[in-house]
Amino acid sequence: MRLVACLFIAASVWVRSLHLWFDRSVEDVRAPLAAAQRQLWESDGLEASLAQVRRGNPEWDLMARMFAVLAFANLALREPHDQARYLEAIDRITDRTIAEVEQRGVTYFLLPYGASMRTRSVFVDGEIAIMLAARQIVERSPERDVLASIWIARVIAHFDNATLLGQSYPDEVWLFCNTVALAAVRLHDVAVGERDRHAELFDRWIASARARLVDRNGLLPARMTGAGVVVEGAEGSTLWLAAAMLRIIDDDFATAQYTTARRVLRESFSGFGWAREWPDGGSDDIDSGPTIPIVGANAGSSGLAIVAASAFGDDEVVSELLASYTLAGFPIDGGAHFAAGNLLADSVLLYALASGPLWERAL
Amino acid sequence: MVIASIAMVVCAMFLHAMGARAYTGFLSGTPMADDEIVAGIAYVVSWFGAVLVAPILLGAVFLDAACGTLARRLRGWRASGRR
Repeated sequence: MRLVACLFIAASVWVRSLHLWFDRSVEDVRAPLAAAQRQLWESDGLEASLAQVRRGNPEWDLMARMFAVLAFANLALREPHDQARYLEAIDRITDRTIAEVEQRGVTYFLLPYGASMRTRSVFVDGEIAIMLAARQIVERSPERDVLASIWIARVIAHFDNATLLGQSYPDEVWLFCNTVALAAVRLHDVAVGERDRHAELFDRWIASARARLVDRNGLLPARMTGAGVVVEGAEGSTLWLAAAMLRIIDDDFATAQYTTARRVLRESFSGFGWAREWPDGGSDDIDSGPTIPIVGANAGSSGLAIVAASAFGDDEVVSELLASYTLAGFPIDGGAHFAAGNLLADSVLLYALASGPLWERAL
Repeated sequence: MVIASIAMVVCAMFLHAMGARAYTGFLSGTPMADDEIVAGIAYVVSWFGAVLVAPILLGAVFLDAACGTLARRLRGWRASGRR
């Protein structure tokens, strides 16, 4: 009996103090990640990392590039003395991506079932457009102006329909891709000095989303048909990113999305934080990654939650998530990589921890 | 419990030294070879054993021993008081 009581006391003390061993500041995590990411995108090791994520999902390849570019754009604005080097990396990633799409088609970055995609994909167009627009925010380059305008025009064409929803796959509309595409347009408008050039499109999109898409919690769904019929409801791995992107489209609507997602998806215990993928339960898929049973911690949702928490200045959630990543993300090489993730996870985390300056210019 | 705790820590240190930490990518759904997944699972289990379970077991043993010592001293003090 005494031993059981001792076990209970020891467990209480240890579990409550465990986070003290794993608490990390934003700068502690960002600095080694940034150095490693910058080096990786300049090295031969890049091909192996890209090949690894492509084996899991070719979409992750493009997403890793987008998050790396957004991270580098923010870092270029944070560290003006290194701006030239970051811009060089951004241009290299963007040029390579555009060349691959032109040579192999949009299906190069789509899952195999997208092979029948005969039109353009808002997923591919939006992510390339946001890379180009972010670069122009850091430093406007006249020769890249034309390129950026072409890709932004392609993005806007996706919204030129009754539903105002762009398709990533045939008859598949993903909120993730649509919000990235909208943010690309806003960033480009800011870069060319006409912030409200597409304000009417944004207003109509938000009004349509409020009227037709949100669920009983007020949350946006993850996937719809081309006609706007909801197929998959709210998912953390989509919502966190969508809320962060929508900040520069409609801050009030985006804040409401984040606040509600925080209430229904966020979990925390004793200084550690994680996120569920679904408010009311669901099953794992290729986008969300595995879920740890009992606690409900989902890889995709927990990984992207920090993007939203950073975008909305939620230091409490950022701190809890960083403690969890340090405990269960298995940082290696002095924090240069998180072994539990991959190239995409590292670039998402770096983007989250570097974000701020780019959005400040667009708000 | 002390032996179990030490075994957990030694196991985690061994797997860490063998580089098994690098194979924990299965947690994010990253494709890996079967033997890498096995090494990764073993590392995750041993890591949480060493970080979460072993300190609790050692703490409980220490507390239990401290309580035992205190109880013996109290009994000795009472016995000497009666004399």
